Amino acid sequence: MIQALETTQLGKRYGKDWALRDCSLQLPIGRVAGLVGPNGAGKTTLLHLAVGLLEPSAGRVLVFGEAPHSVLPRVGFVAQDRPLYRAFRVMDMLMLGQKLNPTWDMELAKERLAHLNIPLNRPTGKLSGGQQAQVALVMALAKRPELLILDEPIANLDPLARYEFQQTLMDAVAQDGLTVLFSSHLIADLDRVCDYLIILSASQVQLAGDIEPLLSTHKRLIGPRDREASLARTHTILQARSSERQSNLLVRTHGAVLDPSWEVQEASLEDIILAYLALPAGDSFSARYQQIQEVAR
Amino acid sequence: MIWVTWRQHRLEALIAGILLTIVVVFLLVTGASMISMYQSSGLASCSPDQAVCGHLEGTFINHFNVSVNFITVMLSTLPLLVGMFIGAPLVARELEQRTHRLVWTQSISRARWLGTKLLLLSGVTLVAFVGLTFLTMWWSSPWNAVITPWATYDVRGIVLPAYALFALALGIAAGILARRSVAAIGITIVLFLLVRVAITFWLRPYFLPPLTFISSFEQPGAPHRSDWTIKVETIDRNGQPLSDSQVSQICPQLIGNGSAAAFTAFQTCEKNHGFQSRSTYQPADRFWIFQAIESIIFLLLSLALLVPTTWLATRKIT
Amino acid sequence: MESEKQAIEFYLDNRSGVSPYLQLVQQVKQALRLGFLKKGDQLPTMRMVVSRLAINPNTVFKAYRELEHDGLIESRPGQGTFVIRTLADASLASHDELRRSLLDWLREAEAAGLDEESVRALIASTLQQFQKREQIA
Repeated sequence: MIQALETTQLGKRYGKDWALRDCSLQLPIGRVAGLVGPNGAGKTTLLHLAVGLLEPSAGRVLVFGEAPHSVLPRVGFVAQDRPLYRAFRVMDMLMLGQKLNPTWDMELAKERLAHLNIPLNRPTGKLSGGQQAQVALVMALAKRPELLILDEPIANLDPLARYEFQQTLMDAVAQDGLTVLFSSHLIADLDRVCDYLIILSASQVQLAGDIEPLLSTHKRLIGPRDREASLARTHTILQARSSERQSNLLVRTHGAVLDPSWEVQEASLEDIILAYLALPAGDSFSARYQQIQEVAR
Repeated sequence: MIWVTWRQHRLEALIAGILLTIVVVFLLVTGASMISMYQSSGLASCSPDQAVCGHLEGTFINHFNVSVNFITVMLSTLPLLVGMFIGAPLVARELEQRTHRLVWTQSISRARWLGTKLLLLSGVTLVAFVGLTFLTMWWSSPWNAVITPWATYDVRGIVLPAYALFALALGIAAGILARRSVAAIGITIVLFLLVRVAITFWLRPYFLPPLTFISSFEQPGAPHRSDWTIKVETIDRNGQPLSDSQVSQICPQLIGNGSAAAFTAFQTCEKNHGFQSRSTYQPADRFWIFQAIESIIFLLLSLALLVPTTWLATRKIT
Repeated sequence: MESEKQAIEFYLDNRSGVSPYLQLVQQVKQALRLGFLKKGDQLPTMRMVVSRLAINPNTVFKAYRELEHDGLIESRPGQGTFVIRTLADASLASHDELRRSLLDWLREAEAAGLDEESVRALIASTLQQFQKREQIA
């Protein structure tokens, strides 16, 4: 089945340093995916590889089954800092979009900007940060893309502008069945907006998958410290905060937690993400999972 | 993409248009003035052996020397300006302001983006400078007749458009490599001047083997006025060149003494030693061959600059 | 789209620990229970909810689907989504009975030495567990 985005051991190297390495993931069509990770984890590198701004040093990246540069009309992209030609009026930017994209929908672009009360004849350099973000988003949406890629689109926006951006985005997803991949620092909004999650840390993929199974398999367990070791034989402990007698664990469960001495609570998406991000560099979920498999045998 | 190129560069086009208009006006005004004086003073119908010609020429040259120099400097700067303000920022500014992330992810390939811009901008540059060169050829014709056609070699003919295209290529290449407009502009200025100076002073005299003209006090003479005299040396009996200080050591009669008697003694001394004057020159009829050779050199340099850097820009840069 | 008054105004509480889709389901059921939503009322379109709350469309889809599954709402193609049953009548009758057993329980809790905070904590965590059990079923 064709994935919206598929990478196979994708890597990018600058000199001796790998900005991204061994990245394998499959993003199904129709998902809204959040890409999270600390600065320098390789988020921008991954996104740039997906839109053909970078060539891989290793591995492969396919968008709708093809090389990124050959499917540009089907992909909308908004880079970090939302670049626009500052001297162009908003209308000029739309003209640019029309001239350079065969699938451009001018009516849609004008309609969305009118809905947001963004004047067409103001130079983009004179718009507010929120308005610039909206213009950049409309530029990407007016292409009628099938996949939309956004690099930290709401960074440096005030809360209202952020919310309005997300409204526009979700509305476009509802209307067109768009697949979306965006990177973000802000974890708080993710469970409202995303249904797929990619966690990148230390240039590697820690996790990639649908959010719902993630929420149902990850639990917060509170219980006696001395039961921790036996728990670790069946389930993967991602994070442990323990006092002398009590353990507070974030666990990736494999099956039900049978030991009644553990109180099982829901883990919020934010907690899960933070736990994965806190894994030491070089450590990855897949490595730990394999450890469990070894022990269980 | 044509619209986009126009819209992005229309301010530059406007400024270039204004500058060009100013230069054209200068050329028209001084050109008309020179032609008018050339004809009305009788210089046009003057033949070189007439004594009065020398006087008319002197007046003519004094009158227009400053403005011709000024215009020559202006015209020599124009190609450099093309390189600095149209070539250098072309790719560099996109990279600096990160707008390449916007424009290279629209539906058009990088090759087409860069190719269209290159074609359009070099086409417009070519048209502008070819037009300009026709004008400068008209403007310079009296001056060329009075002094030598070689005097205005740098600002007319095929080389003028060639310098402009080279500057453009240099600017674009510098922009791609430096990725910053200011650095690219600096590199363009330095390299353009270096290359122009190197070719003008070291290569141009020897595009074709120069001719020599021997003369002495018994057999006076010199290359024709419309030829390009590259250098004049004193040579001894065996044809070896002597520096001025060497000549003064051997024949010191003129030192500190400017009288006619001292001059005659000097002449005798030179004759006794078999000293002669040797002029190295390029004849006037080689003017256009030289223009062609120089233009080809600049065009080849332009290709050498553009081919690897445009490959780099379309394949490698992020 | 904005000027029409909707039968129900959804909202999301980030801190409740309850997933967004479940919050939507609960809000509809609550409104039905209290009589704010009546039989025949039209629910906001998926697109309206998405646009208002900046929420993933799949979330709304899932919530509406569950409510449809519970027989509370029905989507009519070309017209919209409508309430076909309320919860008010069913629960009102049993309110008194439930209130009495709740008072008994509270007396038991007090006798066991629980203060108000402990009672609330116990109720909240048990309720969560109960809801989760429903989800899996």
